[in-house]
Order: sequence, then C-alpha cells, then structure tokens
Amino acid sequence: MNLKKSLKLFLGFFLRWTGFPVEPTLLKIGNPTKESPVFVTCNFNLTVKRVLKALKDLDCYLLIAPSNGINVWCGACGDDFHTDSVLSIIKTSGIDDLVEHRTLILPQLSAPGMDPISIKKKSGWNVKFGPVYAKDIYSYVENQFNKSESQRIVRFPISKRLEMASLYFFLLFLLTSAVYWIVAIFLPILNLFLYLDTVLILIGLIYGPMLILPSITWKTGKLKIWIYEVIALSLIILFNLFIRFDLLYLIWNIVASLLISLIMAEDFHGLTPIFKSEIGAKIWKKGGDKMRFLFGEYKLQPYGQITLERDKCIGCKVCIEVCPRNLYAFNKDDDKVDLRNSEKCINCNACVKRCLAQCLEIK
Amino acid sequence: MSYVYMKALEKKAEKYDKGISYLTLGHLPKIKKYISENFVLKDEKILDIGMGTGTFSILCAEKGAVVTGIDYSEKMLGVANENIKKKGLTESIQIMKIPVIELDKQFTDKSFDKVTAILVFSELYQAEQDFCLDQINRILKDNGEFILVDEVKPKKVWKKIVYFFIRIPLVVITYFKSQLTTQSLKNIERRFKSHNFSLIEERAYLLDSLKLFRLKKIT
Repeated sequence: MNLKKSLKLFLGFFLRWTGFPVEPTLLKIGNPTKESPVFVTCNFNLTVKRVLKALKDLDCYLLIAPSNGINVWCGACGDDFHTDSVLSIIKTSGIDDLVEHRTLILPQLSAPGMDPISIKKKSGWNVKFGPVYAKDIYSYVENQFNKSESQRIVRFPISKRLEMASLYFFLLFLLTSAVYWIVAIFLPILNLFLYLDTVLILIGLIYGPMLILPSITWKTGKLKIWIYEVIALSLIILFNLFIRFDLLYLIWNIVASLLISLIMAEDFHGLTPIFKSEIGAKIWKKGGDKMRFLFGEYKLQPYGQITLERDKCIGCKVCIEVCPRNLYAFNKDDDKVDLRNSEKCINCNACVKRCLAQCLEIK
Repeated sequence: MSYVYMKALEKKAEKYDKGISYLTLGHLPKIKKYISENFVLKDEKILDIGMGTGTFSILCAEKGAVVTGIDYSEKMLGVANENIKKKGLTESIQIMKIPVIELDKQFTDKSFDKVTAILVFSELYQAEQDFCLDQINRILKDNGEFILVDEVKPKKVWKKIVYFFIRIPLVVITYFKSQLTTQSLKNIERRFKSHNFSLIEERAYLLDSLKLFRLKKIT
C-alpha cells in the first residue's frame, strides 16, 4: 500500500498533465482545539504532502477539498477547485462542530475560483486568503494571520524551474523512447548510442532554457527558445567540424533539436508562473475559449491588458491581497488602489473576479 | 470499464450519449430502458440525479412520470434542454442546476417516489456519497425506491484480470486526452444498510464491472 502511494507521488510529480487525487477529508494536525485555525487545500497528492509538511509544527485542521486531483492554481483557473468544492467539504467534514470560530484560510492562488461572498452566504464561513506558498503558513500564523508583501508573490526559483522542466522532460522522454524503440525494430541504424544522444539533446533543450531563464531578457518566449536553439545548433556543428565528424549524427541532431525546440517554443512562457501564456493569448485574440497544448485541453480565461477604472474603485484592497504579481498598491491620499507595472500581469484573473466594485477588466 | 473514457467524453456533452453507449457496448441505453419500462409508473414523482443529457428523464416522462432532473454541468443541461424540447416534454421534466451537496436545501422530506443516479456516484468522494445516501433516504417517500447504476470493480479473479487489461488502454487514452481522475465505486454494497436501505435487486453487466442496484427505504 505504501509502495502504491509512493509510486503515485512519483507519477504525480512527473506526470502532472493529469489529476492525481487523494480522498477529500478533514485532517487533524497536532492537537487542535476549538480555536485552532482551519486551512483548506486541494486534493492533488503532491500538494497535500507538501502542505502537511509545512503544517507539522502547528495545531490546526486541514480540509482537503475535492479538485479532481489537480493543483490549487490550475484547479482554480480551470474550474476544478471552486466554491462548491469548499462548500462540499465544509458540509461533509462536520468542521462546523469542531471549532467555534468561522474563518477558513484558503491558499491565495485559489482566488480565481473561489467566491468568498457565496461561501459566506451558503455556509456562514468567512474566507481569508493566506500566503501563496504552504511553507509560509507557519510565519503567517505567528504574525497574527497577516500576510507580508513577500508572501503574496509567486516566485520561480531554480528548484521550481527544474520541477517544471522535469514534467516536460518526463513526458517527452517517454514518448520519444516509445517511438524510437518501435521504429528501431525496423531500422537497424537506430542503436543504443544514437538513443542516448537523443536523450541528451532532450535534456539540453528542455532543462537548458529553464535554467538560464532569469538571465535571458528577450521579449517573447518563442524568441528565447529559438536563440537558445541557434546556440545549440552551432555547438553541434562545431563539435562535428572539429572533434568528430559523422554525417548521420549531424543530421539526426539537427532534426531532433529543431523538433524539440518547436515544441518548447509553442508556449515556453506559459510554462512559467511569471509570464503570461503566449499560445493562450493568441487563441483568445482569435476568439477561441479553449486551448489545446500537447495532449491537454484547457479552458481559457480572458487574455489581454489589465485595466483599472479608478473612479469606481472603493478601496476594498481585495486585489492587493490576491494578486500574485504584487501589481497593486494602496494610495492613502484618496483611499483607492493604484495599478503599477501592468505589463507584468499574467492574466490569472484573480483580481478581476474578486474585485468587489468590478472596476477591473482585462481587455 | 468505461469510466476513464467517459471522463474524456464528459467535456463534449453533445457526443456523450453516443460515446457512453459505445463504451458500455450498448448496455447503458438498454439498462435505462429496462428501468423505465419495468419500474417507472404513471404519475410517479422521480428525481434524476446527474441527469446529464436527459435521456433517462425523457424515457421516464414518456411513461407518464413527473421528473425533476439535477446536474452540475451547465453544458450537459444545455443539451438536455434541447433534447427535452425536441420531444415536447417540457411540462413533465423540470431541470435544476445544483450540485449534489445542496440536496439538503432543495427538496422537502418524503417528496419523491423514486430517485435514480446513473453513473453519478463514482464521481463523488466517499463522504459525499454518504451524504447523498442520507439525503436520498430523507426525500424518498416511505415505500420509495432508489435505483443506482454505476461502475464497480469485479470480484472474481479472472474477471478482475480481463477488466484490468481492458482498462489499461482506456486509462492511457484518458491520460493523454484529459486531465481527469479515474475511479470506480468502492465498497458501496456494505454501506447501503447503514444508510437505511435494503437491497431488492442487483444486476450485473459487462464482466460485473457495471451494476444496477434497486434499493428500498427501510422505515
């Protein structure tokens, strides 16, 4: 049973294109009392594991809400982790009788899918959006449930970049290997050495751009990938010219690297949480509402430029609390919110959906 | 066996019926017909949980029953609405867009003669299923019946093995086509009694992977 769980976690890590659910339930962590905080998370196995790790020093309740085994942010944007998931787990877990207060702490990134007003109306629970990362929960609790500015921002450090690259690599690796060895039955040229060479190219072209992402500043993701590809190609050619020449390997490497770059260039920025998806924006402009990428199908939300109608703003500060890019700042002079660096917006739609005065729009 | 593929089909509401019929090797339409012909009476009040495209509701309404259909998917209900209009049954079928978790707020006690749930329970998690069973028990009239059709795991070893091998390609296809979960209904038989239901009839189809349960409310 434990082996099965570990295998599922392993798959959950590498094959995130699909859901890896655990049973939605209520967990008691430490020795919770009637005043202990109540946290909510999705039922993606990896997320649950990480949240549990982050909560191990606290006395609290954790509600694992049904989200079809999809992570918090994707679930909230793609209609899998929404208001009804939370209402459902509140009702079936019996949390109402376990605590005296009525405050749920939701992950900040769940904001695109969660309607706090509807949750309050239907269940009586107040919703508070906690920090973006589970690892910040402890200091969030220590700080009397106040989020610091840095706890509101999505980051993309090297560990997360490698994680995203791995998820890409693993899928392409499986597919390439399967196709390669099936074709190899009929074509004896395809030997083990050429296979290893192909895998090496895969690693270089998928992990490479992700590793150097912060240091390349070209405007679009496509450009980033193609310039990277040009460098890779020249390395391959130089290797063949000066170290060891082999026509088969030369052609094979050029074709394989072009193919992989073609896939990577499709939506390199969409693979990161700090840029907006290019393919999504393109399809949205054309009037489509769904995006097909590799094998997945995603529902699209509006793409474009975020705009704030300042006249309508009532200074509720909800946008400041939910924006993962820290684009909003409160202006004390007229008690309204300012929108700064709007080009940094990734179109997650959290602020648009949660704004109480409906003064935000993506055009 | 069809569950994983069903998930892949779920997004395309218009193609749902055809796909399901094909995947259950023509069994599901037959099961629906079997239920409506044998157990549905004229003027009975029926609650169809997870009505989907409304095929079963239409069959019941054609027999003269008064049907209330609920579903969570807006797309499905759109298709259902069209189907019902085509048949001219808008007066005997009422459509509601509510999740199962709100059953407790929507219907009064003992208000239905029959409740049906066809390929719905396997999409809920266990606590939700328990909640549903309690609620269904509450809204059923005293001698009311609950008819449950869903996917289960076969018990016999050889059937398990055949089922496993049929399931693998379907799992792979779904993994590549949609990002959804795959599961079948687990130990449901054991829970009927604790929720005050007694089993009247049980029928198995497709290597025991698809089952029909007729349950009676214990009063």
